Amino acid sequence: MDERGSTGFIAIHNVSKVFATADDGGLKAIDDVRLSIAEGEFVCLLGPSGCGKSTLLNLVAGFEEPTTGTLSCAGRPVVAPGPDRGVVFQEHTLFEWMTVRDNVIFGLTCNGPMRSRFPDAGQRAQACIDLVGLRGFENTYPNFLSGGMKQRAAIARSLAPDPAILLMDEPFGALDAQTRYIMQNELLKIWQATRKTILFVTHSIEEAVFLADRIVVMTRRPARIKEIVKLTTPRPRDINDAACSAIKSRLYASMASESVMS
Amino acid sequence: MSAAGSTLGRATTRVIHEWWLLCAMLLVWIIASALNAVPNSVFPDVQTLARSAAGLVEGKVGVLGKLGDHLWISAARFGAGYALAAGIGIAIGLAMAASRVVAALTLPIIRILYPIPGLAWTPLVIMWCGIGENAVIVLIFVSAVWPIIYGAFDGFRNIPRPYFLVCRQFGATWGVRVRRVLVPAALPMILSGLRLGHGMGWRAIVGAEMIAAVTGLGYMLNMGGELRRPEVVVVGMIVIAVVNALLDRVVFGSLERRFIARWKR
Repeated sequence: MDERGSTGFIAIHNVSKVFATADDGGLKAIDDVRLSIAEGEFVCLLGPSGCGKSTLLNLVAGFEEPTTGTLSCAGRPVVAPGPDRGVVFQEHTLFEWMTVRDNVIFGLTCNGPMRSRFPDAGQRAQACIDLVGLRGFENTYPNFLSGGMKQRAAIARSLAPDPAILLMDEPFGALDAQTRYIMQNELLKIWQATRKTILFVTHSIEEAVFLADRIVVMTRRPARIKEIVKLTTPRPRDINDAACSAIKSRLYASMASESVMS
Repeated sequence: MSAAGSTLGRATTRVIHEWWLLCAMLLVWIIASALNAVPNSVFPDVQTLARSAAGLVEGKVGVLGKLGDHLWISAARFGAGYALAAGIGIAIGLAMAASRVVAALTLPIIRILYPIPGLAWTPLVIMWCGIGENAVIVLIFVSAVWPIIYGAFDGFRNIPRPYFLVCRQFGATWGVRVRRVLVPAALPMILSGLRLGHGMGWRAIVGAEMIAAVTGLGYMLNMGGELRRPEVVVVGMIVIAVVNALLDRVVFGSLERRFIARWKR
């Protein structure tokens, strides 16, 4: 496979992103990133806070346009957000006036094409709710769910339209350590059950080592790819075993040199 | 069974806590009435008030007309002025939330006008509209509109940005965005603005009708004073309080229960 080429399921080809600033120098968030992700692969973007890894995710999602370079997903150029790419955000973005079921149904009923693709939205939503382990909480409002359950509901919502790609922006960043561990296991189960391609942003080395097929280490702003670490340890992983520890040490060293200035 | 019993017990305790002083005052009033302790020209006794209320309902108190007619006229004026305030207020609030330019231009004006009591406009409004229907409606409008503007502005402005990303991600149509996201997200603040505006508008109607009209509850109240009939004034005050409480508790209370209470924590 062409690791840094432009032929993958998700292909990021020489992408740079400069945000306009008041002093019109511009803020360069991403600098010449090339990355190719295979179908069904679980890739973590790892980098210091504020380095631009979320910006890269937003480019793949289609929320932002690259300043230079091109992106494509499943061979189609990314020009706008689309139902082929589900997004799970860091803070909970469930509609608080809707029950879990109505939140999950939202994506299936919010436009004509979706409604005809999923004529039985209720059944599809139930399947997703079951998948994330929220059966019994269909009629609960988000404010009455724990943090972990909110993120389960958010994952169910993004899975509902059956996207090929799941883009996750530090989805477990706000959870306590134990819930976070449970959710990481849960996510791996969902991934193995659905074979989605997952691009997962995190600043936690442990999280990346626990989850990923490949870890893409980003430099601090402007974000470039510093190195790509491939993990072959079978799951479920013990992140403290010899192989994982060696990778963690390497990643700590790599990250440390990126955060000297911060 | 025991849980229901204790809930009922707590509710009873709460009602007693909140209402005992009012009940005691009513009792004092009833006893004072029985003893003829207070002259009717200062504060009406129970019998006079009851007779006056019955008389007003039947339209038999001098030239004052029927209570029901006054109430109906006041309610219709209030409805017109309040509907205007709600429609225009929410539209302005939405425009301010949607556009920084609109917000920057209108906020200073609104900040200056909001603290001016609606009734301070009365002389101007009478000069513009004359005495009668339109003046009262305009006065209700200027009393009620400010909190409604603020409520809608805050409601729409504070919609979390990620909600818009979620809508974009799923490709929600504009109709869906407005109906299922924007309005429900802003609704708690809109409703509290409407509720505040309702209270202010209802307060204004009596004052407005005292000066700028020859019908309505405010007029009846004012005439009661001029005719030295305190019992008429008190009957009017009671009607105003009860109608306001009904509208506030029943209408806004049930709207909030229906649309907000079940999901807000």
